[in-house]
Amino acid sequence: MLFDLFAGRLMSVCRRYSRTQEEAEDMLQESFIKIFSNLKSYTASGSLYGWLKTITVNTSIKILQKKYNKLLSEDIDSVQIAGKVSNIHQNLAAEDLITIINSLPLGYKSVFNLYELEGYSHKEIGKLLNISESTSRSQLAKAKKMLKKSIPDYQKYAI
Amino acid sequence: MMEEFKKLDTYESRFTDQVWAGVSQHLEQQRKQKRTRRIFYLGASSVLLFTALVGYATLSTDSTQSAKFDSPTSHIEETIVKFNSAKVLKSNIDKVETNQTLNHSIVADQDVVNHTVGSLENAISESNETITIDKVSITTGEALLQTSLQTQDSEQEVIVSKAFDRESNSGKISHNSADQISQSKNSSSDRVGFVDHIPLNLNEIEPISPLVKLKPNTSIRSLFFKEGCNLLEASPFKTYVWSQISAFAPISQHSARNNESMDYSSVRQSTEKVLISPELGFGIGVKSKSGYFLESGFQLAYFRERLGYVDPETINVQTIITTDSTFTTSGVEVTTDTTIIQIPGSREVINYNSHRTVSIPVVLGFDKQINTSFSIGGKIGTIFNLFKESDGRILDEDMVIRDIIHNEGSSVEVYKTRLTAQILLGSQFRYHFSPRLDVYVSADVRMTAQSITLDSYDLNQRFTSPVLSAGMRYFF
Repeated sequence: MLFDLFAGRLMSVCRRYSRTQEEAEDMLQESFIKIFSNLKSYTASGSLYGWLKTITVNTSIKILQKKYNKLLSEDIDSVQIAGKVSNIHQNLAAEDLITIINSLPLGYKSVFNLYELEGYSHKEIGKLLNISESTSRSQLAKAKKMLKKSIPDYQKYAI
Repeated sequence: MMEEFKKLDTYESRFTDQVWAGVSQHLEQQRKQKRTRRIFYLGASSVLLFTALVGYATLSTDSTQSAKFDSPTSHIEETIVKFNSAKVLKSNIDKVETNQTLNHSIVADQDVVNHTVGSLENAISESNETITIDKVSITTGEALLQTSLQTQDSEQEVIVSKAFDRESNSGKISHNSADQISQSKNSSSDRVGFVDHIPLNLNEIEPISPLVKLKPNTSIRSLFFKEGCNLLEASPFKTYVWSQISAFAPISQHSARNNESMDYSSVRQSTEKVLISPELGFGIGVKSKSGYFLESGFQLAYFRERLGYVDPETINVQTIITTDSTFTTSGVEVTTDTTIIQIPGSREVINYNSHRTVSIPVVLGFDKQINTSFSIGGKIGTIFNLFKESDGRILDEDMVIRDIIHNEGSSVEVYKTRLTAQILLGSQFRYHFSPRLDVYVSADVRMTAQSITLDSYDLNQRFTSPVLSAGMRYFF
């Protein structure tokens, strides 16, 4: 069954965009309603997971825009990171990575997720989040900068 | 580092069962809505299609018609038979001749046509002329045969008109008319005409000849005005579309399915009151000449009920604090007396529930003509419920107010999604606005034949609804 196969993976996508577990579940629920409603429009030309993920990302972004429209475009200069991830080893656990991403401000993590993990361009991100391309670029740079601060071993890696 | 983040792509996070519960509930609702829409559109399009087909067929048979006949007489090359209105017959013959495009028409059988042609042949033979029959017009109600004859010799046009009696008269044009043809030919007058009015039995003018070629009459005027519309009587059945708007106030009757639920039944009975509600109906019907009619269609109803419940457990206490103070003339407070009064009260919960239904009525009725403009009648029928949806709140057996949602464990399940059938008894009063258009008011009583609650529920609930309607019927 489609839900059983992909719900877990799509939940991890939702968690990267949401602020709380409940919010992530709302996103997942809304995404699956859309997926089931639009299943006929899937042409099987691309990967099924890619299609499901696109719907999930778009749905999550829409929910965020509804709830925190202002925060998405807000450029934050000084942000207190909720807490550094402790016991970080060279191979970070997925949960740790989600925690790290979730420690970023909403706008930063949305841009970071979309650009680095989903592969959107700044132009596409601008359109999706209703922000300018330059804002997207600056938020990405700031997100990376903050990630460096929050992960001691992060310096080793080049993003 | 990005390789580290890439592992998120295959990572599976955990989530609660509520996600799937939410998804499935939403999908179920969508499915229900889709099913309702599908039933509605299917039904509506069937009604429309059927109406269109019946309408086209009826319009076609009632329209001006023409036909070609073979005749043993070589002189008769072509006969066009037109079936026009009786209204015109009452005017003079010249008007008939010059007013060939008439609004209404009637069907005639081959016998009538043959008879007509035979009459013409006789007339021609008696007149000893070589005549080409150019045109035959028949107006009915009081049948008129009108013939336009053209002689080959002089190209003088002669009009002969003759009342046509299918029952008693042979239909032959008399010697008198033949004489007139001769006279007219010999005289300078181009046209001669006379009319004998003999009523034609319209019941016998059916069915349509297979030779008749149909041409729809598209005159808009003919749809609403009386000219010649009595000719509709020629058909034993008339097809119509109807629409009506109704107001109804269902009276709800609860009864317990077991002794333990007697109290609950009386609480439900006393706390719920159905409000006056609207209903829209439309459909098609068939009416016979004798006044019987059978009709069907769709009825969309929306009714609301008021739930008013005083919870005995909830006591509201109103506290009134009164402070009396005494002051000296200089404004200094001397004494103060505070009284506290507490008034116990209770809290009434008021909620409005709504029910939406889609139903198919099948009604058999009778109209008794009072005079040419009014008729009165009765009807009986069954209303089959296709779909019912309820929203709102209800008192459950523990006297707790709960939501009504179908097929969901967390809420109380009360109503069937279908109301099965209702019995209808009623009467109607119609005004014949025009031969094609009736307007009417009707008063009905409807009773649900079976309980509208689920079998698993402790109470039976039935509705008896007085209904007042106003509507119209349009005949094709």
